[in-house]
Amino acid sequence: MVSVINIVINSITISALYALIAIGFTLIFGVGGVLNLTYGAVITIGAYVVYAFTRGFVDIGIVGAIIPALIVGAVVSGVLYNWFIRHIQDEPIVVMILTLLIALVVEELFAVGAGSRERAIPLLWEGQLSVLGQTVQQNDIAVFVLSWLVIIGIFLFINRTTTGQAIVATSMSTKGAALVGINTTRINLYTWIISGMLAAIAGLFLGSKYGVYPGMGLNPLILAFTIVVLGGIGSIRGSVVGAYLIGTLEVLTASLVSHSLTQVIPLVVLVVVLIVKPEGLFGRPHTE
Amino acid sequence: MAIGSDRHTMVNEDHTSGSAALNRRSFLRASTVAGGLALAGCLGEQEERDGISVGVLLPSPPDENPVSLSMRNGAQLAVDELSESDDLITEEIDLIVESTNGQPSTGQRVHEELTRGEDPVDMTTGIFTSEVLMAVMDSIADSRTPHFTTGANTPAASEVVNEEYDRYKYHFRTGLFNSHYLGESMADFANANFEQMGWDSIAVLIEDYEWTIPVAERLNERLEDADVEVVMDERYAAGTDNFDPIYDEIESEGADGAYICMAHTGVPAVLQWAQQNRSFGFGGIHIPLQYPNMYEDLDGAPEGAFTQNFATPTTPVTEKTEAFGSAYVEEFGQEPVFSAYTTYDAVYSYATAVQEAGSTDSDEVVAALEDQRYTGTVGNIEYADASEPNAHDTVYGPDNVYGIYAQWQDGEQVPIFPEELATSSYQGQ
Repeated sequence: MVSVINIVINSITISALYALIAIGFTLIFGVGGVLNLTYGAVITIGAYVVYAFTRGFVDIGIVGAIIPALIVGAVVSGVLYNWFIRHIQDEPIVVMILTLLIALVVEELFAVGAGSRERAIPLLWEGQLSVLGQTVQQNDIAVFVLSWLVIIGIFLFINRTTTGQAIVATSMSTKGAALVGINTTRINLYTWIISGMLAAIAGLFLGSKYGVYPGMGLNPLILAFTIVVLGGIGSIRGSVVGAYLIGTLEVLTASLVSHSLTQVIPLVVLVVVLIVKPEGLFGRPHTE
Repeated sequence: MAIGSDRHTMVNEDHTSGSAALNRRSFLRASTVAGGLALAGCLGEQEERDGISVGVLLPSPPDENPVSLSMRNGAQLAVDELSESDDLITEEIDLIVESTNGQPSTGQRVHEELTRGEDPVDMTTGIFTSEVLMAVMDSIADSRTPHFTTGANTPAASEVVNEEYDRYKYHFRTGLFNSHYLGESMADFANANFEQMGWDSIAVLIEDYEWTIPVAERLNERLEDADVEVVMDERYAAGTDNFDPIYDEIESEGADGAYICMAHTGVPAVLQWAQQNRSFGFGGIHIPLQYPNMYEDLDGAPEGAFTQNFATPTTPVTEKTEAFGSAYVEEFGQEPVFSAYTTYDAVYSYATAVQEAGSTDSDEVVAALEDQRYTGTVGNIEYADASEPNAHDTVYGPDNVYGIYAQWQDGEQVPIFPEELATSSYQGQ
């Protein structure tokens, strides 16, 4: 039987990763109400960019590879919005179908171009250290710190900058935001670019822990969707709480109940919350 | 997070016989018949045969999956060798390659097209996904075309042969044993090796997918009488990718080794075991670790892990194994995975049966196969007959097909069991 400290540490570390995955998704889902099914594909692209710059074409080190991953994630996501999404963003079903198709095409391109074999990318911080008598992976500490830097950074950006406030305004009412002179198209583009960068970072950490392969974006996409719905669409705080709730439940189930139920319990909780509070834990109604 | 899930939405068929090859087969058939008639007086009781065509059903387009690629290449090498040599058969033999995309409905369709289409094949081989195999069993029976499974390990296929022998007798499984015997193999390895490996206590770690059910059942039966303490026995959720809680528990229980059975979840499991410098050993049946390129792909993470396999290019399982491995590398520029060996052996097993029967008549070929003892690349292949369990499956055992266990040592797959093939001993943590 593992100790309480071990359970706490495992819960925190996996939840931090989940929060990092979910925040990029919630920005787009919350701002434009757009169900962006390419989010997982951008995670995959980010991971492959890291692979290309560490073990593929060149080796600039894992820290160095963050830069091209961020750039590519931003560009891909921005192009997706500017070329495709912004013309159809008022038609959610079309957006869902189109982004799903793009995601499948991306996966197939990687399968054909890179092969379906899983590949490893380096950890950001290798090694272990002891915390309160427990062995902790240093990479998990890096994920935790980076995750909270992102959370705080996004929080400050949203609440303390003009652009951030414009994003909030657009998420509450696109018409209202336009009426007060906000260029909602540009705001949406910024949101997609930021989301793309976050997806790329998520791809780095997911790839280093689980391996890089063409279909790697699907499960994080589903996870992000689950967390966002649980936490409340449009609520960053809700996404963080949702991530920690799901991560903790997963670890508690594994450590105290059964390793065979780890994938089921969080979904059960999601269903219960949605029955009791359909808008999610911190959901905010979208106004027109 | 599911690894290697069926993701493909496009059926990508790789026909080595297009319309040109169909014309070639027709020409060959006509000229073979003409030549055969001319020599009829010299042939005694040999039946005149047309050219032979072999169909291989891959789980995906060849370049998308190492199992698919090896399956295709193994079949191709056998077909090419048989075409160049008259030792076994004299007819031209060609290969038709199809992908099932891991989908039962697609598998059914392509098998029907291969066996009852415009130009039916004489035998089929391949199939990796057990669900596809079960969906194709009726087509095999209806077409009465011998089929040699070289990838899927579900015992359900051979159980069907036992239950309705006359209808399903055309199914054979070549070169690999079914998942019940995978459990048997794990138990045999444990009994023979755990003591000198220093594995006094183990954590059994098995992914919760359909294919592991017979493996776990047989392994757990045998472990009850084994001289090892099982401190943890986990059938963990399908799609698990975070192994931190599991590995923490293994360490808290003080297990010397994690005795594993993994395919879909194998990559994150071994990655995290290596990255986290876990104190326990790691090995058992780990499908990704069988692949020769996996060490490089995972940047050395497999170092110290071991897995069951059927052969490696440099392990002389039989006198044919290394020659096949060399020929494969020379032809295709990379090392084979298990499905290359089994599919190569399947084509040769069939050709040998055709020679024995003097005919491609299915019933005569089936009879010849049931009496066959063929030395392939993975062992001495004999098929269990209808009176035994797992009818028409490759017989498991040291004198038949037994498999090997290889540990990744200094970047190489080094055989550590059975003793007669071992070139090193297990290197502990």
